[in-house]
Amino acid sequence: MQLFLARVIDGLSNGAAYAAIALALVLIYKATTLINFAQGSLAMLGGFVTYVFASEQGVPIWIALFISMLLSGLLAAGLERTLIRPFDPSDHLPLVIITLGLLLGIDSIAGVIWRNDPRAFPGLFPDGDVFTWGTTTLRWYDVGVIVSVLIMVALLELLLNKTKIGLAFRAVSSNLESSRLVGIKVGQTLMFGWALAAAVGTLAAVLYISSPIRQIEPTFMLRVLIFSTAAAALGGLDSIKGALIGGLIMGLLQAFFGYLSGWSKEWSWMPEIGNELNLATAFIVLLFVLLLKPAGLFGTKGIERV
Amino acid sequence: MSLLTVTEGSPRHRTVQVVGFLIAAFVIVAIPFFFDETWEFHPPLITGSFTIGMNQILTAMAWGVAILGLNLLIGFTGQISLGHSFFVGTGAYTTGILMVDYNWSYLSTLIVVVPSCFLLGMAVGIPALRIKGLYLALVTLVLAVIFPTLVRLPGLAEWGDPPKGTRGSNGLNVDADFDPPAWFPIDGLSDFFQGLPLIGSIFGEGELGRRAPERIWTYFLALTIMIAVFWMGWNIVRSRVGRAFIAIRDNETGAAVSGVNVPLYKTLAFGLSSAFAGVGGMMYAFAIGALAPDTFGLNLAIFFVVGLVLGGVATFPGAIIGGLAIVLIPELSSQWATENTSLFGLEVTGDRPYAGVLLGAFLIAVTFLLPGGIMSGVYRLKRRLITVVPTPPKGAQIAPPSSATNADDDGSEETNPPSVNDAEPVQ
Amino acid sequence: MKRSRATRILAPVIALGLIAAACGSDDDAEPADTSAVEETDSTEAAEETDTTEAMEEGDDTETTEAMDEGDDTETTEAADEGASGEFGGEPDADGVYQIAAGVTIDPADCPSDWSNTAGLEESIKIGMSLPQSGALAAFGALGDGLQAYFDYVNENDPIDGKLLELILADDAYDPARTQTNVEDIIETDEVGAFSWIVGTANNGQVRPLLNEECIPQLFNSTGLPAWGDPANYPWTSGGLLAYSTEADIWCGHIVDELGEGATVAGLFANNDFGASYQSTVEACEGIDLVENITHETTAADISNELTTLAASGADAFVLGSTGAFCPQAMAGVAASPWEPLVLISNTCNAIGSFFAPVDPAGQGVRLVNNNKSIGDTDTGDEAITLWRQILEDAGIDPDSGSASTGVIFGYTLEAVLRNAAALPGGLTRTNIMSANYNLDFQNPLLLDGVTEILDGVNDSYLIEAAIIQEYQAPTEEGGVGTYTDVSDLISVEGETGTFGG
Repeated sequence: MQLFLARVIDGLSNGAAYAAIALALVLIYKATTLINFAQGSLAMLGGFVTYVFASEQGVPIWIALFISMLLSGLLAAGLERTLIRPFDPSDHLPLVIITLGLLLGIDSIAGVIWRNDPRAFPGLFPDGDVFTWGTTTLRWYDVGVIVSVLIMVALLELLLNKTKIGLAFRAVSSNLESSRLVGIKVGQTLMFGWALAAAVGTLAAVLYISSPIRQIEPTFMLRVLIFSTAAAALGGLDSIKGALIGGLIMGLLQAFFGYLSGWSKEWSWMPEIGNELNLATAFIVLLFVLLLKPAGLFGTKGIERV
Repeated sequence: MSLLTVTEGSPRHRTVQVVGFLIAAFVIVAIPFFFDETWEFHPPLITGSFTIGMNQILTAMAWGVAILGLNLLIGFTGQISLGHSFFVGTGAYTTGILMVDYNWSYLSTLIVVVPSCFLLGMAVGIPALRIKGLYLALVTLVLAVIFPTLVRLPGLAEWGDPPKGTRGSNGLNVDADFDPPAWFPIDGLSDFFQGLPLIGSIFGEGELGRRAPERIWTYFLALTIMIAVFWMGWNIVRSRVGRAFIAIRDNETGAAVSGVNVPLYKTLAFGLSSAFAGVGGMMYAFAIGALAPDTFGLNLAIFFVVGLVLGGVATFPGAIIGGLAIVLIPELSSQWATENTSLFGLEVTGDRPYAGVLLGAFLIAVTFLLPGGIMSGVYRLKRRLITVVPTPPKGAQIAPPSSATNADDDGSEETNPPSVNDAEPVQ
Repeated sequence: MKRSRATRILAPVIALGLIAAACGSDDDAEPADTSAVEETDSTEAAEETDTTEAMEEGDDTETTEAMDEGDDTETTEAADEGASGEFGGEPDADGVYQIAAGVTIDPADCPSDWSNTAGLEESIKIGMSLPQSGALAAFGALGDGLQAYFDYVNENDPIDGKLLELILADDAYDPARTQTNVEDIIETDEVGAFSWIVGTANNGQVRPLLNEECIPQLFNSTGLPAWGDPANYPWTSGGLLAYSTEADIWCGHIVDELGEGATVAGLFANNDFGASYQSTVEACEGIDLVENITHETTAADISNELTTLAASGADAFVLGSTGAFCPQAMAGVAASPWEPLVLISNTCNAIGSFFAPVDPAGQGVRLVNNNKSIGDTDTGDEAITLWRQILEDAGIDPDSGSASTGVIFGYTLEAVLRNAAALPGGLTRTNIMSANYNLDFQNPLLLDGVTEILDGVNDSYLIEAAIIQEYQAPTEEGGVGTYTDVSDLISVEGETGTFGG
């Protein structure tokens, strides 16, 4: 039972982090029907900028986080304006190429600047446990991450549904041309969408890496990205709620994979499933979902008019 | 206006074609004799010396074949796949295991590699039918990511006694002897090149080094395979299958409505592209001989896409250019970094860091400036030099030559360059 | 469709036919190098994991004056060996070189254009392929450390009057690139020997090539027992303590400290490195392995695995992994209520890289070590002072990590080269191998009693001794942690013989 609870905590905590990045992916998808492959890299960069402010410049961590969210928002808005805007949004290939180029470039630059040594990342939440039961602990960190992501989701829903810019955003994501005709400043709205996504991404990266277990180094977002894209697809690429649920499910699946691995060792009729295969769970989940429900759990179905 | 205008089919045109072909053939045959030792060069303006060897050329050829396969899928059928390295790796390891553990000769491995990769590709293509556009890119991305893990699976790494398998993390060493056969005039060709007036000296002096004949022969073997594959690809693209692919790419609904069996051709596209990828992997395995799981992961998959776009989507020579680009850019930037270890005051060790930045930057630059890739630039240049005008029907007026494009002798027809070309600024 | 299918079949058939006609019997691929097979068989195969530390034998130790003294003794030893005339020097009546006990080299097996003095005539050229980028880039600093030591030797007491030249190439831990690097270095730079190449798979990839080319492959930076096989691979030698021996030492220590039947939880990397630890621990008698998990090496996050391990509540935790997983594991254990005895791989012993980022989580963590700690500045050991000096002169921070280990490597290499130069015939490749397999050297940066002794097939392993140390986190902000000894020297010097036949 202790192990079960420990796994649940683990799953929700990681899942919240996946959900956060999935949110960033969803935001961009909603605005532009584009998957930003560079999202993980941008988030990683945001994490490092926070690290630089907090660890090297001595700025208090939450302020450093805030600054870095602003900066990444600005960067993303700039990228949107210069690199993404010139292209026809319905043509996917060049945009995929651009985001891939960004992924390569940003990962490289981070590797050059910060090398590959793991470094300690300051914690966002108080050290220590909320409670401990035998070998299972619920850390303040876990609570902090889950609560933060829930708040983030709530704020985003509020932003998109109750504010003017949110309305513009929804309009643009549903029909670009009509929005323009109606007088909505499409360019600014798109930039806003990207900036928001980048800020969310940075927050997610920092939440993830500030765990007492983890240390920051340039490849840390790679695995998260894989699970987050699976989470976003699982939840539905255009659903905020879906990103949250999808992320939590992926986190739990990953945590419970340990059971599967353990059983496979005990039950001789099952081939041994090593723990290293939990990356494959992302793949299998993704495949299943897309086969059965191509638009994800909460996404809107696309209808093709002939 | 171009320098030269010829009418299609005229004797002049034929002459131009023949001359072009001869030049190309000369260069292609000369390459291994030039690179039989690593070539060290000092470009102007850039500090430091660089070396390129046969290893890079052979890898570029293997990757060129793989990119051609990817081209079929992305360039001609419009399906985005980010998992190409999965199939290349499968081909490479299949060849490696067959050669090393079962003592097959490298050519006979084709019998296994091609159909198995084809079927594997079809198998991936079938679920892909339900998944469109970017979701498909996602799924294929995950394929590329898990390939190294699959190679390391204990069941695949080692089975049987004596142990056979991928050798997991240890890597698989494919050691094959490629001594040229007696009838191949390797010394004769070497002497020929060295004896050429004016340029003979670049081919080195005297006898071939000890390892050179093997390498030269490997090159010709790889070249033969590459030509065969390109020829097949060319035929596929010009056939009904190719037309179906292009129809699907340009307007899927329209194609379906016009009677094209879209699911069949989409799946076929996956199958064919994987078969080509498998051959590319096989070439890599016997030419380079060192296989490791991480070689065929996400990084390579992304590089393939990069190479495809840099070379030119939906072009054939573009695949080779792409292959060269993704091999030489990281390699040369590496070598540059080894000598110039600090950049803007930052100490940079190792070399790969620049690879990503440069490739990423080139990628973005190409997408903006030259959406058709380097080949589109080459074609534009070609049009300045020579224009081929179709033969006017008897009695008709000859219209002033406009910028007509036509098939040239290496057979790269610009079949409806995809929308990358037509990128229009959206407000 | 029909036409394209026909052409699809026709083209390869024609191609096949043409080539088959041409080829004759050239297509036989040689069976995969059996060493690769042995590697996977051998449960001892360790070394993999993508951590940078994998290659280090331990932290650098002090070496200042001790080295100078060492030099003198080395040359006198070498002179003795050379004088005995038993090994090294000129070939015997059949033209075969007697390298060491049970080890011979016949130049007839070498390529026709082989030269025994290539790369050793005007200067001493040493090649090395290592990961300078990618996940294990921290190990790239080994090359920097080795270069720093070369600079020191060149300035103070050049070997045989020639300057040492180090040629480094980055392989990002990819064996395929190691292969191409080695090939390119052989072609372009004409090195005398290769040394300290990093990685099991990497060395395995190039061993056949180097033995074919008759070029020394000295001190592979991996703990795989297969390298100790001079009878079959006279040009190759290993440089690190075998991982299986290390895991055996763990077992012994756990039983000593916690008694028979102690419960153990283990986390191992999913590669041969982790597998060697894993199989040795599994075979360990006297302990109860209650949790045995492998993790992927590609992406650094083992939080789920740590949860499972913590839940086992085992008495001891062993980590057969390296790189970023070491600090994670230590931090994970520290952050949980679980309090086991923690033993981690020796490859993670560089304090700067692995303990410092998670201080004080590493407090109390133990590992097997055989070298001195470069941070031990208050012991007055002159070797350590010199050690730090050598790095500082090269502009490297002594506490930064792997560079310090590069200096340890340098001492051993220097000993071999000096011995070789003192043999009849001077500095030649065969003499280098002779000096290697007859080495008897106390590296001033290794702990006392950890000797580097080799004797052909009687003792083919460089290092066979170690001690268990415990990490002490720094007591003040910005301080550097240190190790304290918690066991006596465990030595199996001379007992591990040679590998296979």
